[in-house]
Amino acid sequence: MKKKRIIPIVFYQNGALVQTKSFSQYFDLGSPITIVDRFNSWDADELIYLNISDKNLPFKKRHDRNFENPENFTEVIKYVSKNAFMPLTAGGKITSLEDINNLLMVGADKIVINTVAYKNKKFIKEASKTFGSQCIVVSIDYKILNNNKIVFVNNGKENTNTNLNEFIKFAEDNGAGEILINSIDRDGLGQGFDIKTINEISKSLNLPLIAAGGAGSIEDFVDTFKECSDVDALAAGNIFNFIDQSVFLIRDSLYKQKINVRKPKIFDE
Amino acid sequence: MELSPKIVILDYKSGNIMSVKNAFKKLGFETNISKNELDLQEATHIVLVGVGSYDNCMQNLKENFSLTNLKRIILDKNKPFLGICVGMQIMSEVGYENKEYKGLGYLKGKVKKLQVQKKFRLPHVGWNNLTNIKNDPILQNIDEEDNFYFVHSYVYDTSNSDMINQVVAYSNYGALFPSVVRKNNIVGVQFHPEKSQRSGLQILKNFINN
Repeated sequence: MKKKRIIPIVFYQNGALVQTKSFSQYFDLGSPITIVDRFNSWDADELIYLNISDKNLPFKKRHDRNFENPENFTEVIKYVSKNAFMPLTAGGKITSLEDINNLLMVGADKIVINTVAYKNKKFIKEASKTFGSQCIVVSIDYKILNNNKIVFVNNGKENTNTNLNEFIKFAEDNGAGEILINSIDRDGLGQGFDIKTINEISKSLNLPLIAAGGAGSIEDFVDTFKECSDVDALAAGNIFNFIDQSVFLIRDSLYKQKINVRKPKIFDE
Repeated sequence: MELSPKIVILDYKSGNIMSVKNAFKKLGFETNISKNELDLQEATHIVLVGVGSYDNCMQNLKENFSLTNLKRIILDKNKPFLGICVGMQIMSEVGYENKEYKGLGYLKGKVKKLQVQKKFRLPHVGWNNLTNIKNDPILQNIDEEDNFYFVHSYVYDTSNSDMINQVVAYSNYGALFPSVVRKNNIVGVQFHPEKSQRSGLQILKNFINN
């Protein structure tokens, strides 16, 4: 039987790993590479690695590890893929099929696309045709405004005035392999997932749904999987960076509560 | 002293070659990514990876290898041969992804879209376990609690009894489908062992050691 997934999301910005809060504040967390060893040993189901670099900010060189500083995001993914014996999903700032190809060639398994899927209405179709639906994850950030779920692009800065359900339908019809929804309202606040939206979307969607935004505790995962029986995966950023062995602890709780996840194990080899 | 295995990963345009190489490396095995027939002849183990569609993989393989020579090296010499994901699928006689397309024909059977109710979304992406496990060296130290990472919509069609005899484990996603197959020296896995953490590395280890 297929298992529910627990997915850490990590953000790369200008040479460092960062934490995000409400899509606007960023805190430096250190080496963009060492983190992966940790998620690997905690037996994460998958890792989503997103590039949110900003050319207006300085590049941060690290001197804390016996590693060359990767010069760009593609180099980071190349290093990471050598040590990640789990699916590696990469994305952020994808604007062309060539960008996708570059990341796949260095070892990414799936690609997250966001703004380009909205700006170029043919892109999802072209990408899924070229690389296969299974490797195209359409990531959609949304805010709730006057009870309407509205899609935002450009790292959450640009209001598209497009309804979330409509855009998901569009992505599905054009060959997306999975949908990742992220609640901007809840990003980095740790007050729980947007259970209402996740439930509503997952019931009508015919693709795997990954939901992110708001995880603050182990209980948030348990509650959301219990209340949203159709969601495939829950993803989060901050909680995985700040609670030691968090992936293992979350999996252990879910397993004990009879949620259909892989049996908890520490990957110690 | 035991000689170290000479593992060749068939070199053709497929995205996950490096991941497979890295996984073998983690286990302490060097691999040679090659399209050179001499390397294939000298190899002790050959791996065929594959992502994308059946027809695309076959086309790319044809552009890089003589299928006649490949078949001769693999079948006549009885070399341990592992097909991963679409690499497993194209060892069949024919596939029906995008269009009907002739496969390598190492295994009996056809590859067709997984027939499931709508609530089982395709592609089947994610972690799933094995079931109806037969005793086979490739599955040593593996049981129903082990999970593997799958990404596919197509599977071996089991309406044919020749196919069923080749299955050593199934998985369940709305329907049972063959997830591990074997015929003599030929082994195929529908999942990605290189992405399946400890359980996946065990499969690769079994392939080399058994």
